[in-house]
Amino acid sequence: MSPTATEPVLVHLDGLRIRRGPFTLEIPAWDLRPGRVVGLVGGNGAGKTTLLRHLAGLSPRDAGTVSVLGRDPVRDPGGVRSVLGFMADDLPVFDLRVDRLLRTLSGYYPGWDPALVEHLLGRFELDPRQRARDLSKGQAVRLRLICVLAWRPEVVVLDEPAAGLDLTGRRRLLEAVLDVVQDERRSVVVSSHILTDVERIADELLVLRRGRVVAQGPTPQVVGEDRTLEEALLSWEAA
Amino acid sequence: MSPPSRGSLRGSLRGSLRHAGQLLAMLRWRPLALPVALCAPLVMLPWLAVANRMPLPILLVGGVFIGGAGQLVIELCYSRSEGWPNPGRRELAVAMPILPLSPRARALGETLAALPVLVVGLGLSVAAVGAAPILAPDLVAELEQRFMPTSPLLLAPFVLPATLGAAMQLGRHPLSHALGLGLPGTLGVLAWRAGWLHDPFVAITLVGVLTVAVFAVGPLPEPAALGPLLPRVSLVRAGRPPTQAFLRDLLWGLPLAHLRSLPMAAVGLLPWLLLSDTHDSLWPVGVVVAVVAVALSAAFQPLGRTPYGLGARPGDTPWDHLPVPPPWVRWGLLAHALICVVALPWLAHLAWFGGDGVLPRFLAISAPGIAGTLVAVWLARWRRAGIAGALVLVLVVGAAVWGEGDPSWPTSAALGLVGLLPVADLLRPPARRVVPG
Repeated sequence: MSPTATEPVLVHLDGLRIRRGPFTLEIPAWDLRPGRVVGLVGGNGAGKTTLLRHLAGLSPRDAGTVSVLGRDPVRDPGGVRSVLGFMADDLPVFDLRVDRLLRTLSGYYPGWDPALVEHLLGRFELDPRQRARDLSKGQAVRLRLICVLAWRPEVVVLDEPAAGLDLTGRRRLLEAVLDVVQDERRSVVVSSHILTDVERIADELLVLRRGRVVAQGPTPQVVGEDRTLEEALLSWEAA
Repeated sequence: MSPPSRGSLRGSLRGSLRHAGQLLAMLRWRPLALPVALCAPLVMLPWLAVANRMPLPILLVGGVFIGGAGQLVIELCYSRSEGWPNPGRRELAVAMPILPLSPRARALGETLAALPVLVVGLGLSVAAVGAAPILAPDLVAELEQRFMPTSPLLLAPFVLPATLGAAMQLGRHPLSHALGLGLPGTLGVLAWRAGWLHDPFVAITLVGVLTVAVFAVGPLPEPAALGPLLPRVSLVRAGRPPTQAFLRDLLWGLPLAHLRSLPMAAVGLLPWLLLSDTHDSLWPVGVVVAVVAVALSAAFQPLGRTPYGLGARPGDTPWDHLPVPPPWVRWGLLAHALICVVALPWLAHLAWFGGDGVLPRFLAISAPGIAGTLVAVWLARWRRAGIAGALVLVLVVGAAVWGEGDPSWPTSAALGLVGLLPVADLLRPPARRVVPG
């Protein structure tokens, strides 16, 4: 799906610069349009998590303009988090039973969908009576995915969602991501080192290397026809 | 450059109330959290009772402790994280940082949720202390005469702005954190001393002004900038035998690094300098109490914020990553804790008084400061909370049966023993690994 000028923009970045010690992330321009799955790829230290945490209003920036459905993540982090769901594998959650945690979270989100929660609990094979701290790493990732998908945010941001997931879990994850963009008003940004998964589901790519954008655009254009995403990434890293 | 976020005041208040409601509702699933939270002020009550006979600056330190109790209630009831899988981040983690709330709204909501628990807890504590003979009769009389009538007035100006200020400063520089916790209390004490708080209208106005001031002009917390509240101390240094480096850092490096927390003591002592006109006979005791209590609380921060405080034990991750034999880790931690619990107060006491008759009072004052910090860590697990509660009950009953002796001794013994439980816990072999696979 190629972007058109008339399409609305869910996330808009212009001249973003974030400094963290010696590291600087710079993204001159980037737009996220509805109905897309965008893969955010790059090696360790490329700036993927820095970008995603900023979008979720969890970290400040040094320069530039960022808008998430018209809201600034720094000026209005609460507003941004009411339209953007952020998931990371190490995101701390309240130490409650899974069902109670989900019930607590339902009070914060008007769009919370109990039926969807039931469906996701089944899809991810999670026991709602288990306590959060007793979950394995893979189960913990599944719980975080449910937390972020259950209220149908317009923008879903997933930072390394496949970390710790087994093969079945990864397949369920990909299905869930594709389900999100069945609603063409919503989009998903997903960062992952499992490039085969990204290549399979991403409509567009944003490739970072040491804080700089090395490629962005529709996946086939960015990757090229005669190589895989993994080969492309290796060539960018070697450049 | 991004300016600090303000958000709309109305939206923040709405979000705060919603957050406070959710947190209070969460208590129904934590039946044991509520009694523990209610008991939190009890730990500080003897200290406050004695401090009430002290000059106002010392009472101010008590006010800071009350603000700390507010944070403790929040931690115990609401914000504890399950804490996996990233050991590097979990010690600084705030549970559910992605809630659709501004940091300001979140801080205010958690303060609002903690306030009723604290008020009820302190009321129950005062009643319990009045009913149980664990304090000297003159201290109970002091409580009844001075503290109880004014506590409702004192609590609000202390707790609400102090907890809010502290919550909003969490993760910033320790000095900022101390100021956020201490300054509202300072103003509250000064207002009390000036007699303003005896007028309910003025008291309510003061609370409102302080809260709005903190809420409106205080710097915002930056969740991503959750810098270490702890000093960074490398427990194993290059170029030394690991065991030697470990013990050296544990016994000396950690306490020295905590000197950075002394600005907190300075905040507590500053009004002393400003108001030192009416308390010549008590000032050495007050200074010692303030400095020792604050320094000890700071010294025990590692036990509360490190993996130990989060449930790890020698033999668990990440202690077992140290290239040091486990027995050295175990006994080194025990030595560190014993030095902080026993040696420092005694040294301070001997240095100041040479063993004269203020020892019981000193112990009665300092033990809650020590034990409170330790118990706050230790009670994070419910089984231990039950053991600690049972032990306190036994000691209280024993003190009642014991009879006519100096009641500050059983008080000190009870609190000291409870405080030592976490130390004894260090010797327990690990039950399971902290980070599930």
